[in-house]
Amino acid sequence: MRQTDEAFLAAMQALDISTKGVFLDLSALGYPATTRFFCKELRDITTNETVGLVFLEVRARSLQEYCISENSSAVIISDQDGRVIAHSGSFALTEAGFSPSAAQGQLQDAEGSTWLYRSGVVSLAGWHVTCLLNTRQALLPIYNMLTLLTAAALVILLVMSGVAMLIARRLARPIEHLSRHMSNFTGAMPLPVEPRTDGDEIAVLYSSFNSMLLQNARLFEDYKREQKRKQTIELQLIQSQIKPHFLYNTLDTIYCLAGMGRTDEASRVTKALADYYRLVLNSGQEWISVRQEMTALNRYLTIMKVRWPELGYSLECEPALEEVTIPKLLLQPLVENSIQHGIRPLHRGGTVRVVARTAPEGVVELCVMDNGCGMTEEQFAQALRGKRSGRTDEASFGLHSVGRRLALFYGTHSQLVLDRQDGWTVVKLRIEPGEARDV
Amino acid sequence: MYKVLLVDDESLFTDYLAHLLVWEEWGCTLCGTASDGETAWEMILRHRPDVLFLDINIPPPDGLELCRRLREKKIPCEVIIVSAHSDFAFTKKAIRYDVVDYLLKPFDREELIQALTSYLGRVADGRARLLRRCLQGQDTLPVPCVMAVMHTGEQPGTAFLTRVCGEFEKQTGSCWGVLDGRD
Repeated sequence: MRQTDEAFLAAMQALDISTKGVFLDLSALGYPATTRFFCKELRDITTNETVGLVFLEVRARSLQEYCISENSSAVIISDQDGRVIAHSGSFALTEAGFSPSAAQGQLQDAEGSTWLYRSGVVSLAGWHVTCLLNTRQALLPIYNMLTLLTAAALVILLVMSGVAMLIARRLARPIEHLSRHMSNFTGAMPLPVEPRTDGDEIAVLYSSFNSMLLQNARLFEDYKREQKRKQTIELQLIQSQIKPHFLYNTLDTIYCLAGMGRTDEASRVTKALADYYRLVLNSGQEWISVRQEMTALNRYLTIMKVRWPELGYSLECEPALEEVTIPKLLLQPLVENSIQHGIRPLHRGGTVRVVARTAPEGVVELCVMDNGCGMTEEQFAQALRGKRSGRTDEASFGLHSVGRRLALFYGTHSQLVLDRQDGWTVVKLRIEPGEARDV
Repeated sequence: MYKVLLVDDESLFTDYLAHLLVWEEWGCTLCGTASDGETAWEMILRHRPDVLFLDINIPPPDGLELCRRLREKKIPCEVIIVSAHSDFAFTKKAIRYDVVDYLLKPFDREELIQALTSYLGRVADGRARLLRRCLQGQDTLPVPCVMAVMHTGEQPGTAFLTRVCGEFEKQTGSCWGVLDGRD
């Protein structure tokens, strides 16, 4: 006991000091308000008589040491009048002290932070013990966590979109390159693109593109070659008919006839020549009816017979075949061959026969035959291949050109064969008119 | 008289050639026509023509081969190739065989006369050369033959001898002309 004055003792006696003990506020006596005194009667166990009083000084501040002291929480001990006895934590107190209005709730401190609190009264001491939780501080880890998560999500998003863009570019660039490469060649055949070494789909695309180009180029070449071949044959054909050879000879014949005053024959040959060329040129049309071809042959043979009077000829065509169309001048080269290589070398005259007849299965058979000096299979094959066997280049062209034109117009639906019958050399030309290709 | 042989496988053309001139007016006689090589060669050997109008493109042996044989057998004969346009390449080959000229079909009377007279002149020159060599003992005359030598070169005498030659030709089938004495 530090103070033993009268007032203190009087106060002591006024207290109902039970055996349970009591907390005393002795601030009125000059003790600090932050101190409470625990007072208890001390009794003798055997007699149960009061032998004295026990005072225990309790300092509220020391309680503080037991309180949690963190940023997010606070403990405030205050008395009934709101005076703060002890407090810990970051709760900013106001001048007015602290007195919670309810057992629990929400309030704001002097700095404006929101706190959750729960309050209780220590009954003996009459103190309010309030536990406070700073909502912001308490939720800070969660906020931090949220921020972190958001940041992480953002980073991942960025990284992912970067990767996606990289992949997209990696995929798109070669394709873009390819498409640019392709669009560079609008008029011409595109050149092959440089192949890629990596074994992915793009490389496959590139190599496919290149092989497609190659294929294309090959087809194009084939087409060009075919076209060129066709043109060559056409040209040769036209030249073979308009070439000076036949024209000059015929003009020569006309000149001789006129010179000898055989004007009837001269005019007949002139007419035949005109007719022949009209039919042969056929206004540039490729196809001609069998009848027209026969008429052209008739004119041709008329002229030939004037030059070689010992030449005989006949033209026979089944009426049903007259309107069948064939490429023009298919037979004329064969007739010319018959005369030049079959009949002329024999020097005793001869006959050329041209027969158009139907064979089974819709096949049209066109035969050119002569009873001249004949032809061996070997010679035939050679002539067909275009080997120049005779002296006159024009004549050996005939059979070869017919063979090539047949192949061009009819493909496999045609045949050119050599046959022999009773001293006649027969060149047979079988075609299926329905299978003709318009080239 | 000069003997002329026409070879062409187009009878029309030989007809025309025969028709184009009155050959006798030009001191020539047509000894025949042939339309193939074999016949032509036989006629050459039989008639010994002085001038041969030859088509290259005839049934064998062809014109080129005939030229070659003529040269091989040293048969004195002036060959004039008668060529169609398309045979012109072969005509050029024939030049190797001493072919003297060619006529491109169709030709007219004037062209024929020009060629004929030009080569008849050569025929006469050839005879004169042979005759001179014979006179100098360097060569022998083909037999049978008729020869006349005119010293003065006067026209009436020449005409007479020409007629004599003609008569002999008819009888012997051989042909000789008149040599101007000044040669």
